[in-house]
Amino acid sequence: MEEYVIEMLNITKSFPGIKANDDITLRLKKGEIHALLGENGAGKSTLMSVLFGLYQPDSGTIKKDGKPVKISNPNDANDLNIGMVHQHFKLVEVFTVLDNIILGVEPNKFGFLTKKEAREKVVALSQKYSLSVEPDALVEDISVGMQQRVEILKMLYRDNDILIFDEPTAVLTPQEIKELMSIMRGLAAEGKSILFITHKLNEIMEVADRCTVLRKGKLIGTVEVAQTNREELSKMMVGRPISFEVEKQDIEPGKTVLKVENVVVPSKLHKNNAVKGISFEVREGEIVCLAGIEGNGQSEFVYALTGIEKMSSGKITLCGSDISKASIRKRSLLGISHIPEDRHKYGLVLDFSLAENLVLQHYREKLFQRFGFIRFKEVRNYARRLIEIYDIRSGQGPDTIARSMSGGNQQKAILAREIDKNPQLLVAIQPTRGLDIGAIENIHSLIVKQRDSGKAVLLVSLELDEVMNVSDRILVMYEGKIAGEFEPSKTTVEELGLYMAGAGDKARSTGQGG
Amino acid sequence: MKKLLALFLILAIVFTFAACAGDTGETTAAVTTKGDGTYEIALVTDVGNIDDKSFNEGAWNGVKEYAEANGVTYAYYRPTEDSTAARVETIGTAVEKGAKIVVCPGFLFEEAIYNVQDVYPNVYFLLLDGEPHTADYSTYKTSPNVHCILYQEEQAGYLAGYAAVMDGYTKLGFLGGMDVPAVIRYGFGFVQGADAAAAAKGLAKDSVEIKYWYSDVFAPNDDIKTKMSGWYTEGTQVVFSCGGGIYLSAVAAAEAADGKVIGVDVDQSGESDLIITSAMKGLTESVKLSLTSFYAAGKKWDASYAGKTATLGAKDKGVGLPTAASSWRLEKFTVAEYEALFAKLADGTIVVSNATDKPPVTTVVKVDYQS
Amino acid sequence: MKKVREFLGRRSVASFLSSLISIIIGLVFGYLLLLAFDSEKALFGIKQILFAGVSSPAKIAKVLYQAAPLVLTGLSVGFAFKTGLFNIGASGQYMVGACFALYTGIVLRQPWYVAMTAAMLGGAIWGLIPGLCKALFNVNEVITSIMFNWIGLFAVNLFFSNTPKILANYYGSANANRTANLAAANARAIIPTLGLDKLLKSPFMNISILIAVAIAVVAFIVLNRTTFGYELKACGFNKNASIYAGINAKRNTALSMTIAGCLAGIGGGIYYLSGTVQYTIEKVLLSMGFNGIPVALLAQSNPIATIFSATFISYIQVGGDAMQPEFAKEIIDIIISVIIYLSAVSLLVKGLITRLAERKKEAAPSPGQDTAQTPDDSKQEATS
Repeated sequence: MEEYVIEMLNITKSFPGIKANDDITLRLKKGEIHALLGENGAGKSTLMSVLFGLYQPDSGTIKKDGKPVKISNPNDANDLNIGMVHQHFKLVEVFTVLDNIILGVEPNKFGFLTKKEAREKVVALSQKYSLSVEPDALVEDISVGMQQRVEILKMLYRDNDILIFDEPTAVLTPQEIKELMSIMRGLAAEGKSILFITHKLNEIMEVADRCTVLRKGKLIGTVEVAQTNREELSKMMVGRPISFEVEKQDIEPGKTVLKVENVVVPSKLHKNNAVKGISFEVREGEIVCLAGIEGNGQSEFVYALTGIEKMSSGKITLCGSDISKASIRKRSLLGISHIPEDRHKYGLVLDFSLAENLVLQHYREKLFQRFGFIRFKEVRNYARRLIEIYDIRSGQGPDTIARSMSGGNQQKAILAREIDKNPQLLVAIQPTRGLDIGAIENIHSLIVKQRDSGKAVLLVSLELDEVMNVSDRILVMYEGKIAGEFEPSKTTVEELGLYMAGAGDKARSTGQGG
Repeated sequence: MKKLLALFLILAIVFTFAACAGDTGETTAAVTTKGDGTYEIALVTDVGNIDDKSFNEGAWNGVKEYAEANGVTYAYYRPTEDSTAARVETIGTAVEKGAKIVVCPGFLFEEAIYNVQDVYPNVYFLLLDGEPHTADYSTYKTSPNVHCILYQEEQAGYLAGYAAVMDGYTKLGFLGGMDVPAVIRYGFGFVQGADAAAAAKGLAKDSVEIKYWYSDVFAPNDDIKTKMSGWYTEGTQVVFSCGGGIYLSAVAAAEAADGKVIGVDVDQSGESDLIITSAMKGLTESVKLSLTSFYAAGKKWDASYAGKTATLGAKDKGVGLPTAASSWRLEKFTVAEYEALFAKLADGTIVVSNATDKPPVTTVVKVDYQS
Repeated sequence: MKKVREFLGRRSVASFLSSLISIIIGLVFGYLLLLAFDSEKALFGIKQILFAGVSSPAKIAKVLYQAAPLVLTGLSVGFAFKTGLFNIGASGQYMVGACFALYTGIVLRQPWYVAMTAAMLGGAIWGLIPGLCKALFNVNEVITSIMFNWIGLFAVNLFFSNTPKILANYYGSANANRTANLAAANARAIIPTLGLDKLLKSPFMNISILIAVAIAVVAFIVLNRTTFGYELKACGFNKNASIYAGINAKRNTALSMTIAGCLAGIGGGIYYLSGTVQYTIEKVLLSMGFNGIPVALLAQSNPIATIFSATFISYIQVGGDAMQPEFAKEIIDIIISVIIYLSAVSLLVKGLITRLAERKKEAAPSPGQDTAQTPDDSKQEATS
């Protein structure tokens, strides 16, 4: 019997102008969890797309159970029992769980659906692998974690035994991540082979047997996870040592910069309020973090804070002046800087040049315009200065079109713009979303530098590692309210996770009781 | 990508709209006789295409029939826009293409011909339904290379009025556009024809009534429709609608009241089933007639044509009613009766007054001149 | 080779090339069409299309005369498009502009520049209303502006029919279905020629093309050099980010449509104040307004390029007219349509050209490795 179920040998895949995969070899053993680690752009997705039949390699061979195979499209992959859970789920929201699972392989007799057998098979599978789902619930009604389980069941229903997970933990709470890890272990124990794409080192250390590291399209190596550590893996991934601890000076918080009192914000999605009366303060030299699972009112609160949405009641004070009803521009002029959650949608005008993006709030200042005419020379000079200071890398300097820049550099450009305003308050929402470790490190240090210079920072993050590392104070939001306040040094990820999942009060009472 | 798709959709919508709205001209190549790239008889359309069911089409049919019967090269040209300058330009193109004679259907050419007649002294022009003059109407001049044809509208109107009364209609209406001479001649001719028919049928005095009104516009509007609806309600059976597009208002009112309409200038029977006949100008015939004379005189106007305006009537087949079976919707008045009447007009037995200064005297018919 | 790539990589060059390719394919298609109709004369036809526009000074004048209003309606569509709005209402704005201009010129007996200002105002009103609907109630501007085309058409017809003093017959003509000949009604309302008509020996020639070019240049400067244009473009490219940056997107939406209306309105004024045409009361939307869409598309909304694309469209129209009588002039409309469809596709082609050039450039190792656009990145962009 062959040791390897899948062998990808010397795979090379070029796109015009770039080698996305350069002579990469990856071997997957039966029943193992094999992590594929690399920064954004390292070639992970390309490699998996080759395996899944979305791309044809320029050279190299793929073997299944030792026999060379040709995978021209996802159907071929499916025939070889290769399945994939995409980062963004491919589910029909208005269908039931069962309907989604059988979609595309509907069991039928003379064209009539025979769902009964399908249901039996799904129930059996879900019991076997402890993937609890409700077959008759609509997908739009179930949690993200359950949606992911539906995706896994889809693969199992098709009798796939090679399972590709593309960044599966990005959307999950700590508890759900734990659950997923145990599901993956269970699958592996049943003889399924798992390819696990990630850039989170903790998860690899926890669940993977072996790990293949890619960097800039090249294979760096495949290591036994048991014989390595986080530092070594990160060095392989980035090419240099990475510090995981964010260095912060000890400083005493100063005057109150932002004061939020009983803010209520209506929701656009439903009739209830999204933010149900929250109050807190942020002081000079302090990073306050709003933690919580997506959709618990953080975004709406930030919209109200920055003036994009109106709040229905409450009061927001910035450095002593009431800004509850001020316009966006007024708030910006008074000293709020804002790093939006979606840099493509809110942060940048992607078709503008880098320079034009860097003055998106400053273009009306005297320096940059005269009689309504923009002084492009000054704009470019200013852009050059920021590019220098914040190390923004781009092909054509100030004239680079923002769209053509990498995600990390786009984010750096936004930070440069927002921080260079020297704001009293920096509001950052998910500033490191989708970025790789090197870029994350960079951005964290910029945020901390802002705090160290005595400014206030309000950070909204879903990543608990980030929350724990960067913040001075943590406010957990749950269903539009602040469920608890913590100091990072005196709490654990698990405790935060409970509060984020709404079990905070129970935890507290049992804690007190016990 | 989504944006692009949206763009495509919008373009599709827009061009569909534009297509609905735009020219309905056919995109077939111009009908020509092959030659050395020159075309001896040219027709320049006033603005529309040669299938406009009006002046252009009538004149083009004359050109085509003559040229094909006599083996002469011919072609038509469309101006780029509805302006005198464009018509002048297009006449220029026709001349460059070797035109010996240019047929210009419609009074829109009056100014254009005035401008070109002395520029191209060796080219001959046939202007239908108009006479050359300056933009401000201060100067009229017809050079020797131009022949103008006007029509005896009073005869056409006479035929229509006679036919209507002979067919049994007793309550008539005359809807004029503006009280310009051509329209007045149609109207007064109509009254004379109706009176003659009533007398011939021996009807009692005042047993035939004509309501007579000028709308003061040539474009259809709701005022006209309201007025016509009133007429039909008061018992008017048929309205002679005389002037541009106002027949549309008359037809709309007739549809609602089950009335009838008489068309004008060309055979309008295709426009509505309610149009029982039309007081036509004989465009096709008169073009053929003029071309025959032109070639008979050695490709030039002879003395009776050069610089002259001919006013054509029944004797030149310059006016008439459409006699094709599909157009003849009169029930009691027959084509044979019509032809007998027409012959009398042609040989001068019947004389229709073309005076426009005062209304004709009637013996039987009662005319209600409204304002 | 590297230089070629760099050259190709420039956006403007890619735009130009893609438009050029559509034009060439369109003309080749046109030639095939001519061959199909009459193979003997096809060569003559295509020669006319390609060269008739410069065959005489008068033809050049004709090209410029037709190009002037096209430039303006093209600018109207392009300007709105730059700010992310589809102005399908150029036709209505054009008609209302013409109506205001003619009323001011004929009935109020004002000189041409006053009439032109009135045209601007009329167009602006017809652009402002859809703009306001979009800004205040988020009603899709495409729907409102299409409806406003028809409202404009019938409102103008109604107005003209009931204003005897504006119609030709008031000034001696037998015609009541068109507005007065300006020469007869008020010669001062005719756009001056500055002797250009004598120079090019054409009654069509006046300074309207100069006005159109000047306005195009102003539009270019406003869009590319001013804070106002910067705001408009920012809203067009990314409304959300603009709102985040404190730009008043609603105001800009309304303003952008108003300006687009202004431009189309001037187009209407410039054409009907030329002294050659008279506005005819008809039941169809004027194609000049719609032709702004292809002009803008071909120019990819660049105001300066609009001058050339409008001139080009006008040029082959003149060429198409010169194919008469061998070929019906409607053939040129088919050719133009093909070019337009291709240039819509060419937006895709343009994307391909730039991407190709970008990839090639990045193939060479550079210090800014981060900028490499790998499939990973692009995929993420696409899904986010």
